[in-house]
Amino acid sequence: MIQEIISGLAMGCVYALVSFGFVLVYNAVGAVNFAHGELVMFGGYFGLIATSWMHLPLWAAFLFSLVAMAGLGIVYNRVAYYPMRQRPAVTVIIATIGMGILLRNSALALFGPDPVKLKSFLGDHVFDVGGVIILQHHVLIIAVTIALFIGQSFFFSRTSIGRKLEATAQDQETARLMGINVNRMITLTFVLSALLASIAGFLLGPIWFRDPDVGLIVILKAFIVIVIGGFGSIRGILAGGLFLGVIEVLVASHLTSEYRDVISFLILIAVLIVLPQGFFGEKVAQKV
Amino acid sequence: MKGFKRMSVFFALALVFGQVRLSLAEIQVGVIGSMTSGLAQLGQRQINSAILAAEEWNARGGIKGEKIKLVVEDSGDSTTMAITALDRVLSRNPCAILGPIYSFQLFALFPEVQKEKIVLMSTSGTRELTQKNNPWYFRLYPHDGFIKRVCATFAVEELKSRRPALMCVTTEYGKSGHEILVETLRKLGVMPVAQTWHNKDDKDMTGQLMAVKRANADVIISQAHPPDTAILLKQQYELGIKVPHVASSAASMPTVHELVGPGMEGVYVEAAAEPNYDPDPMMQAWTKRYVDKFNTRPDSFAVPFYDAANFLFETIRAVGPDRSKIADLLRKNRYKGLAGNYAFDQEQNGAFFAMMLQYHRKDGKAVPAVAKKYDFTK
Repeated sequence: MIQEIISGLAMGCVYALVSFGFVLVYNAVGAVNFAHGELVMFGGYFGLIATSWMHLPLWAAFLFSLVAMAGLGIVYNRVAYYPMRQRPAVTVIIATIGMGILLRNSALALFGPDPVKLKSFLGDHVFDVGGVIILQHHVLIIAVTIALFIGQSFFFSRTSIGRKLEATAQDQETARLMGINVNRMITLTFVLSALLASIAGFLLGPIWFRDPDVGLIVILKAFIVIVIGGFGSIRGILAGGLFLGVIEVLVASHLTSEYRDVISFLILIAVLIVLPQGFFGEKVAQKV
Repeated sequence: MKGFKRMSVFFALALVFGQVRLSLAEIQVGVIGSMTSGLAQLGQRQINSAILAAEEWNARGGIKGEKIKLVVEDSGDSTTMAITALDRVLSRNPCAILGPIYSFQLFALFPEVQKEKIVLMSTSGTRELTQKNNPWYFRLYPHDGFIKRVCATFAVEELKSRRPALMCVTTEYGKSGHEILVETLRKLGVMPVAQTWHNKDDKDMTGQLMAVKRANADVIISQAHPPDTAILLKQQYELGIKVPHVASSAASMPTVHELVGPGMEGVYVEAAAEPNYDPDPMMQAWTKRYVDKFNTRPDSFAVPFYDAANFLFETIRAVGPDRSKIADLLRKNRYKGLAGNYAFDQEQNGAFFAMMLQYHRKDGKAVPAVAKKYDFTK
C-alpha cells in the first residue's frame, strides 16, 4: 500500500504542476487554455532539442527550454489571445484548441511520431526503503512541486509584480483604473504559464514518454484535477492532483485495473455531488 | 459553332485516350496506414515497406511493363480517418489495397471493402479479423490465435511457469490476445494468478504491477501496444519485480528498446521477424536498403508488410489488375518471403511462423537472440 501511495503522490504532483499553469491563464483571462498540454509537451521537446540536437548538458537544456518557452508564451499570447481579447470567452477557447492542433502537428513534423525519453537530473536511480521502491526522480518531482507552490504563494502575495498579476486576475477593469498595464500583465501570465509548462515538461519527460499526442492526456488529467480542486483555486489543484494520483494507483492495484478510469470518474462525480465547487472552489454569485 | 463542336469532340477523345493511356501505364495499388498521430510509429514504417517494394518492382520494369503507382493515404488514429482514407483511395480505382495494422480501423473498412469487392491485405494480429467472413480480407501476419498460443506455451513449457500474470491493453488487440492466452493456459493446466488491464494511453502502471507482485506471479505475459509496453517494462524494472516477462511483438521495436533502457535485459518477445539482428544475408541486405532509403530502422512488422506488398504484386503480375482474380489466386497461391513462407488457410490467415526472442543488453543496446522458433506452415 505504501508503494502505491508514494507513486500516486508523485503522479499527483505532476498533475498539480500541469494544472498550475492552466489555472494561471484561466484566472487571468477567464478562458480555458486547451493547448496547455501541448505547451507542456513542447517544454520537454525543447529540452530534447538542446540535449540531442545541440548536445548541451541537462542543466543548460533546462535553461534553454525556459527561455524558449518564455518566447513561445509571448507568441502564444499574441496569436491566440490578444487579437481575441474583446471577443466572448468561447472565441478564445476555440483559438486555444486551434493552437493545440497547430502545436501538435508541428511536433509531429519536427520530431516524428516515435515516443522519446528525456533524461532525469537524478538519473534512473531508486531508493529501496524497507522494500518500498522510491525513484529519485519522484523525490525531485515532489520537492519541486512543494517549492513551486510555496514560491507562488510568496510571489503573488509579497511582490509588487505578483500583486499586480493577482489584481489583473481578479478584475481587469479595476486593475486598469489603478494604473496597472493589464495587457502587459496578461502577457506575463502567459509567460509564467509557459515556464511552468516547461518545468512540468522536464519533470514529466523521464517518466512519461514524449510523443506529439501526450498533450491530450496531460490536459485531460489537468482538467479533472481542476474540477476536483475547485475551478481557479491554486490550493485546490494541489489537493486535487494528489487525490487523483493516489486514487488512480490504489484503484488499479486493489480494486480493478480494467475499470480504473470508470471508478476514478465516479469518485470525481461523487466529490462534485458532495462539494459542487470542488475542494477549494468559491461560490460565485452571477448576475441574472 | 461547328468548330467548337469539333474542338469539344477532340478534347473529349483526348481526355478519354489520355485516361486510358494513364491506366494502362500504371497499376494503382492503395496503401492505407497511420502517418500522423501516435500510431504513426508503426504505420509509417509499414508504408515505407510498401514504397520500397514498389520502387524495387518499378526499377525492374514494373509489372509486365506497367509501373506500380501507390495511392497512399493517412488513416491517422481513428476509424473516421481510416474510412476517409479508404474513400480517397477508392476514388483512384485501385486493384487492391494494403491496409492499416490497427484492427479497430480494419473493422471499420470492412463494409466498404466488401461492397467494392477489393482485396484488403494487412499485417494485424487481432484474431477476430479473419472470423468476420469477409472474403476480401487477407492477413499476412501470425494472428493472436497462433502467436499467443506460442507465448503461453513458451511460458509454461520453457520457463516452467505455474503462476503466470497477464497484463493486457483494453483495445480489441489486447482483449483478443487475453482471451487466447487464458484459453491456452487453461489447456496447459495453469491459471493466471493476476490479470490486469490498462488503456493504451496510460502513463503509469504502478498499480497494475503491484497487483502482479502481490499475487507472487512467476512470469508476466503482456499484450500491449508499443508505448504502453515500454512503460510496463520500464516500471517493472524500476519496481524491482524480477520475474521473466514475455512481451508482445511491440517490444521488438527499436524505439521501445531506447525507452526501456536497462529494463530490456532478459525480456522475451514474440515476433514474426527480426530485421535488425537476423544474420540471414538477404534480411541484412534488405534492412540496409530500408535504412539507407528512410533513415530509420525497420521493426518486426515492416518485414511482413514488405512481404505482403511483394506477394500482392506477384499475384497482380500473374492475373493482371482484376480484383476478383487477385483474390482467387491469393487464396490458392503460396509465397516465400523474407520473414517466412506464406499460404492462406480457409479463414485467409497467411502466416503460421513465429519466433521467441530474448533480449540482452550489450554496449547500451538491446540485442536479441532467438530463444525458440515455431513454424506450422502447411
